[in-house]
Amino acid sequence: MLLYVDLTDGRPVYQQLRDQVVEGIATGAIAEGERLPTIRQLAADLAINFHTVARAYDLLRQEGFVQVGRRNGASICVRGEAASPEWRAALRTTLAHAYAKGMASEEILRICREILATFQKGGTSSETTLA
Amino acid sequence: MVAIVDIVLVLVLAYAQWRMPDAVHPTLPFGVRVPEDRLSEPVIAGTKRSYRIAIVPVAALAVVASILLGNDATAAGLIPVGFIALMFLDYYAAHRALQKAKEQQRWYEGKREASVASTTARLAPKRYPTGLLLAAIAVVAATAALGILRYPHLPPVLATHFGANGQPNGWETKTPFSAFSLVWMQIGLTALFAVMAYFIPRTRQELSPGDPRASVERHLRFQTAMANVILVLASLMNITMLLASLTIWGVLPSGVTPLVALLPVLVGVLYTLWVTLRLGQGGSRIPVPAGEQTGYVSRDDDGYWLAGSLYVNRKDPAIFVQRRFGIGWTLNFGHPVSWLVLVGIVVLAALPALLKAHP
Repeated sequence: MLLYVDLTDGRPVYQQLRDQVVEGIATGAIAEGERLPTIRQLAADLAINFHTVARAYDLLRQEGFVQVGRRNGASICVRGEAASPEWRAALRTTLAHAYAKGMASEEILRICREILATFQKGGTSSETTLA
Repeated sequence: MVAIVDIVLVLVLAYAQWRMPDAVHPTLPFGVRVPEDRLSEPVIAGTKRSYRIAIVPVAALAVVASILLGNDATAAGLIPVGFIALMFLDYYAAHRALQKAKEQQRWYEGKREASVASTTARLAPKRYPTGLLLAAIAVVAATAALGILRYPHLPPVLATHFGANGQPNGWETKTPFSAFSLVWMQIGLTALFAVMAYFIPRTRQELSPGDPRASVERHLRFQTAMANVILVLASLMNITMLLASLTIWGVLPSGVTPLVALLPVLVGVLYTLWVTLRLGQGGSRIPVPAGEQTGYVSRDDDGYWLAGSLYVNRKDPAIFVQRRFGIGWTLNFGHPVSWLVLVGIVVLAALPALLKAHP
């Protein structure tokens, strides 16, 4: 899969990497058991700091999305509870954002379903093998 | 005769310099990072024109100097160096002109800069060009075998150095080291190139974030081709050393051989030039169908490049990075290991001279 680092976006780089891996698992761009490059390899390929990638991998490990192997490699290994309190809290804030701006519940749910339809965990992805 | 070598060298260098602006990555004219939507700025074409026009008098001067001073060995060595130095100034003038235009007109204002990597391409298995390596080793083996057969018949003193006219002007007593000196060089060179062919496909991806899929395709094809080219060059250089060895061993007459022996190297250099100019740096000239455009532009990392030529970035874990104005790789001098690599190269280059002093 392709991993982007948007340098003009405000978000921290480690957060961007973590988000893309999580979304990649949900859309099927990367499958259970599939490997990720070592921290050093990914940092070199993206021309970013080693510690930034290390932080992203560490976060993914803590959240139960990857397991880190020897020599700083990693592979996808999804485990642990889905609806953690943190996830619920983040979702509450995201929904509140739209609701506070006057979006109707039905509209919010429609958009949620639209997004969920793009997910297909573990199935065939639209990405070519080169990506 | 040395003048001929110099003239050929200068002409090959001048041709490479002439073609280089078309071979570099489109977003890196003269070592300056330019966002994709500014590539048709007239100043870019303008600097390219001025740069090329300047090559002609400098090359002419070098050729005339070669003819006049050609038989002086020191001058013959300095002329290509002087040419390269003047070519650097020519490049630097173009580089500064583009940098100024970019700053004054704020080409990067409002752009979305990004970096992109392909995990699949990074983890894909890389096939080593074993066949080409075996070819290079075969030449070494043949040279060594011929040497072993000839060794008992060699005179006690061997002519090991030849002057400009092909006549011997340096001799050494016959020892396994001196008689096989070029075989040792073949082994060292083949080993070095074999290692390079291993690491080239593993250097960092330098993908264009605007169209990453096309960029991955180009990147993979470039890496494979460069690893192959390096080993073909090794074989050709080994053949040159085979011919030179045959001269030292008296199998080939010394009068005509210096130019003949250098022919495989010349072929190798021209072949390498042809392939690399066709591929473009990083594979930028390889025709690949366009993929989905992301709207990102390559990040503006001019700050890490001194004069667009020397890369220094302490935060970057990569040791080898692609050159900006040229084909191939250069070192990240912000990384401590790069200095070790540099020392290693210097030692390797000085080794033959060191060993001669202490056999």
